[in-house]
Amino acid sequence: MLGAYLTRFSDTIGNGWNQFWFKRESPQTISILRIVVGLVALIYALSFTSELALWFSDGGILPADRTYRLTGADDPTVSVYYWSLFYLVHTPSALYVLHAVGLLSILSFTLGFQTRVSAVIAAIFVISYAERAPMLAGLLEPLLCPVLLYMCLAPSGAYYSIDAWLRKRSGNDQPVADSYAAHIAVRLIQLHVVAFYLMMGLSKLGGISWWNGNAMWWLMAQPDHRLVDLTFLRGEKLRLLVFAWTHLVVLFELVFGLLIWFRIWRPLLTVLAIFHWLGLGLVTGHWEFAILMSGLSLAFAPWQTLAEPVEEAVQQSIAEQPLSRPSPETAEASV
Amino acid sequence: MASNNPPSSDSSDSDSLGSTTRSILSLVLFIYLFVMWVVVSSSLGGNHASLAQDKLLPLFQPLTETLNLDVRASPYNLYSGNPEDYEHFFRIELTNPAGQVQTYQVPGPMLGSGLKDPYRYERLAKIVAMQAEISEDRIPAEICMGIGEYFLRQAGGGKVSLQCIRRRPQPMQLDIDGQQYSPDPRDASYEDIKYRATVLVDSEGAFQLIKQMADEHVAPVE
Repeated sequence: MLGAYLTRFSDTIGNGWNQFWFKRESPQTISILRIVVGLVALIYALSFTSELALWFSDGGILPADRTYRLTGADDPTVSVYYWSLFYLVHTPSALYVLHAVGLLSILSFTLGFQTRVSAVIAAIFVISYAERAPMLAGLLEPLLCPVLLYMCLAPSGAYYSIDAWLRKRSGNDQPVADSYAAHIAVRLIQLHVVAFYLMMGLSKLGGISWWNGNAMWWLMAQPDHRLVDLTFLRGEKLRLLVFAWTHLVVLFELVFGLLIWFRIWRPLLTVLAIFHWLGLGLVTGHWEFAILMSGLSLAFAPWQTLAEPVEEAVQQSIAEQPLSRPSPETAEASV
Repeated sequence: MASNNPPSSDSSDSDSLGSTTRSILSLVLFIYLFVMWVVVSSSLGGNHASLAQDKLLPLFQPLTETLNLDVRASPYNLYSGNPEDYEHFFRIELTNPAGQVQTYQVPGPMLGSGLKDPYRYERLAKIVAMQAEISEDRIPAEICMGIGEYFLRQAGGGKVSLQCIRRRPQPMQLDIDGQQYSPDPRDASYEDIKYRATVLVDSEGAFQLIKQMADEHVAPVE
């Protein structure tokens, strides 16, 4: 009896695992995600432009030898695995040449030009920016880097790209074949996004200010971080909104991580995510992370759920038409 | 985790991938997801990972550091109530070779005005403050030296006095038990100086940093 249960258990888990990971999927979703991720990566790389040489050239704030000392890489007894192309150049002109190559590769990836190659180069550059001075990294880098790596696995330039336009212009109107790689990449992004939501929600539960409702106030009371001043909410009649907002932030992050796996919730949670991240982005100043988190909700393809009832309704209305006669192909398909 | 059992109606597509390929991919995915789970869950308690996580994380370090997957250094809870969540900045007093004194704030228009540069300089100020609190001198000195050198190069010599300042956030109510708080969130009453140093050029032309003060732990008064 136990043996039968264990067999059934392993069969069920194994089939579930296979169905979750190993399917062919249209590269449309991963192509949409390419645009979102590419735009955020472009903003991230551009943010280094104005003070790149001030930061990283010899005589700058963090030249390579100082970064090595700060990370412990100068100590042979310490294992440090940070790497960056920007460690290889030291003069302002060389830094800006490398930066220009990085920007072009990320732009090429975003537009979907030679996407298979540009995705890899863009990922190398984004990791290089992030790891050149890891002590400067914020919320964005640990999400942007893995998502870009997942993009390298899949044909993310198959749709909505210059590659697709060039393919069409050369007379190839065939739809792009569904792909296992596209499906695995989308699944990895989904899991990573959910892990981040749950991590953010659960870590808040460890702080008393998220329980007593004050956390959003402490965030909006920091004048240099915030993008908009919402401190008028301290008013006697409005402060309830601050407490409610604090609780809603925790609730949403926990709920998103759980309910997004149910298709019917996806459109609603995607819309709510936009408001959630808009609010947090404005209050905390982490607006580029907010854009990425909002955009990555699209990994769950909420438009497919929206389309489902329409298709069903159309099919139902066709079936209910007394005079409509199904074509032989339709009849065969319905069988 | 790959199944070799007769396919259900939905699994015919996955079976076309081949059992060996699926098994190899499953193993790689399983290991990767386990690493990600350990890394992400280790950040939930701030810097207080469990002993098991502390043992595992160095094993995964070649992967997590190389691909920048580590999340522990980033404040994903957004606010924990600890001083490390407060705003930090540098206040610079530059005395140029002519003896004139000018005051700057970093991040500010002179340094740290780019798209995300204010955040990056604030991260440096935060590191200086946190390290000074645990009486670690090497890292604050390195960072302050870099900023001091920049200002001295701009001025062509002289002396730079740096302060690393932590700014406590303004409370929601400005009158708590008779104690009045300033309505200006940038008022000096919200500031604590955590580290102070002077950077100057010595007689041989080399940059020197002289620490003047670091905040230290004080035993609570009973």
